[in-house]
Amino acid sequence: MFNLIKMNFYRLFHQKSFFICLAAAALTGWFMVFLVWMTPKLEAEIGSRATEEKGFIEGFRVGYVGEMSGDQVSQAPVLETFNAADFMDEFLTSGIGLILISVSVPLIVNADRKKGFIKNLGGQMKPRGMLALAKLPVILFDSAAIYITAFLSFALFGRIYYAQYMLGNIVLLCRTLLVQLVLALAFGALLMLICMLVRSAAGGILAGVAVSLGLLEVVYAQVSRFAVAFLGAPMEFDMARYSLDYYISEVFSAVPNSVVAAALLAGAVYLILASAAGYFIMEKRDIV
Amino acid sequence: MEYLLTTENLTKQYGKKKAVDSINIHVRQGDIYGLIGRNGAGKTTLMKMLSGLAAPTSGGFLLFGEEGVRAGRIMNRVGALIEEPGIYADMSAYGNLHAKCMALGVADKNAERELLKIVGLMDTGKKPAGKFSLGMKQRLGIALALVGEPDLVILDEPINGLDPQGIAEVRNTIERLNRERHITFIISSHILGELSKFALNYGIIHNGKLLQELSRDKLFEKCSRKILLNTPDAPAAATVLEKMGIMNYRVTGRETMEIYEGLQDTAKINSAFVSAGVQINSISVQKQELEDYYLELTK
Repeated sequence: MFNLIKMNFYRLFHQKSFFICLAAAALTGWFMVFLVWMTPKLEAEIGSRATEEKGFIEGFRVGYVGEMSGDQVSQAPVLETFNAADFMDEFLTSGIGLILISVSVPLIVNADRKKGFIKNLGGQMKPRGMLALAKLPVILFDSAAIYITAFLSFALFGRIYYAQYMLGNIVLLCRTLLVQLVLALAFGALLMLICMLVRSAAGGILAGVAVSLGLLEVVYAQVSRFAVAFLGAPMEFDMARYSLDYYISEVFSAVPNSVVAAALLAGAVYLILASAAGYFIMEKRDIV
Repeated sequence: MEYLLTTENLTKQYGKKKAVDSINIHVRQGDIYGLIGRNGAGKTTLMKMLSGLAAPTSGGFLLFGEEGVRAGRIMNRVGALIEEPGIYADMSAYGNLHAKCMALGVADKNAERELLKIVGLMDTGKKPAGKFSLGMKQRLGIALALVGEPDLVILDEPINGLDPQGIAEVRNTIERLNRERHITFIISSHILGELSKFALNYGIIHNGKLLQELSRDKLFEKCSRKILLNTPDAPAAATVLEKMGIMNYRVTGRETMEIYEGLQDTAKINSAFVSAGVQINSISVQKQELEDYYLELTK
C-alpha cells in the first residue's frame, strides 16, 4: 500500500494537469484580489453620486461590503476590512475551489486508466482494491496544494496591491481549511468513484463541475418535495442538508462549532462510503 | 512440479456469449507457450484471466502449484502485457519503469536501467513514451511486464503491427530471456508462422475453445512434407519400407501411413510395394504449410 502511494505521488509530480490547476488557483487568487483592488478606483472614477444612487446592495458587489442598520444599507469599500482569510472563505464556499478540484482530481485518479498503465498493476496487486485506496492521500495532497496555493496568492497579491500583509484570523482559517480538506477529500473520493464507474475522467469532471455550480440543488429540491409528498417526510425536510456540497458551501471562518462538527461527520460518512465503494469496484470488476 | 500453469475448465462468459469455454492448457516451467487463434478467438480474455486482470466465470487454474486465493497471492510472480502496452504517455521509458518498480517495491536501484538495456531502450532519454514508435512501445510494454523479475510473463500479441525488424527484435529478446533467465512465456498471436519460430508448445484456440495442444515437434511433423500412403495391408507395407532402410514413418490408421523420408523416391517406393505384392490404394506427397494446417483446423 505504501509503495502504491509512493508511486501515485511520483506520478502526480509528473502530471502537467496538477501544476496547471495550481497555476489556475494562483491566478484565481490574483484575479479576486485585483477585482477588489480595482473596483473602488473605478467607482471613484464614476463618481460618488453614481455610487449613492444605487441605494442598496442587490447582491454580491465585488470590492464592497454591505452593512445593514435598520432599513438602511450602507456600503464600505472592502479595502478597509480586507484580509486573505476572508478571500479564502469566499474561494472555498463559492465553489471556485471545488471547480479546480473537480478538474484536477479526475485527471489524477484516471491517469493510470487513460493509456492502460493500470493493466501493469491490476493483476499483481492483491487485494486489487488497494489501487483505489492508495489514491486518497494523493487526492488530499492535491486539494491541500490547491487551497494553500490560493491562500498564498491572496496573501502575496494583497501585499502587492495594498502594500501590507493582511492575513486575517489564521487560527480560524486553519480550522476552516482542515474541515474543508476533509470535505474535499470526500468529494475527491466521490469523483474517483464516478471516474471508475464510467471509466473516464470526463465523467468525473462533468459531475464535479455540475456540483460545484450548484446544478444539483434543483435535484435536491425535487427529491425533497417528492419525499414530503409521497414518503411521509416532515415538511421541513431538505435533502440538500445531507449533501456534501451543502457543507462545503457552509463551512467558513465564522461558522459555529456545531456546523463544523456536522460537516466533519458528513465528510467522514461520504469519504468512507465512496472509498468502500471504490475499493469494492476495483476489487470485483475486471480491468479492461 | 511438472507444470508451472495448468487451467481447469477455465471459462469466461459475457452475457450469453462464452468468450473462453472450458479451456485446459498446460504450461511447463521454462516453456515458451504459443497461444494461436484468430482475432476474437478468446486469447486475450484467457490471458487476462491468467494475469489476474479478469475473474473467471467458472473453472480455475493452478499456478506455481497453488490454486484459487492462494494463487492470487503469488500473482506478483506473473508479468503481463495485455493488448497494447499500458504506459503513462507523458513520461519517459525510465519514468514508466520507475513508477512500476515503486509500486512493486523493487529494491534494486538499477532495475530500470537494466530493463531498458534488455529491451534496447537505453538511448530514449527523456522522450515521452507516447511519442515512441509502435515497436518501441511494445518493447517498453515487455520491459514493464518484466519488472519485479517475474517467473511467468504473459504477452498478448507482442509482435502485432511491428515491421520485420521489430518482430525480430522482440523475438530475440524473448528467446534470450527464456534462455538466460529461464522465464516462462505465454505468447499469443494470430500469425502462426512467426510464433512457430520461437514457441516450444502451442495451444490452438478457436471460438473460445482449445482445439489442440501440441509441441513444436508435433506441429512441424503435422506440417512437414510427407508421403501419404493408403494400403489395406499396413504391416506388410511397413516391412517393405524397413527393408528399404526407411525407418521414419508412422501408421496413422488401419489403412493409412505417413512416411517422412525418401520423399524424392516416391516412384521407387511404389515399385518396391508392387514387387513385394503389397496392394496400394493411393500414394501421394503432401506439403502443408503451418497456416494451411491452422486454417484447416479452425474451419
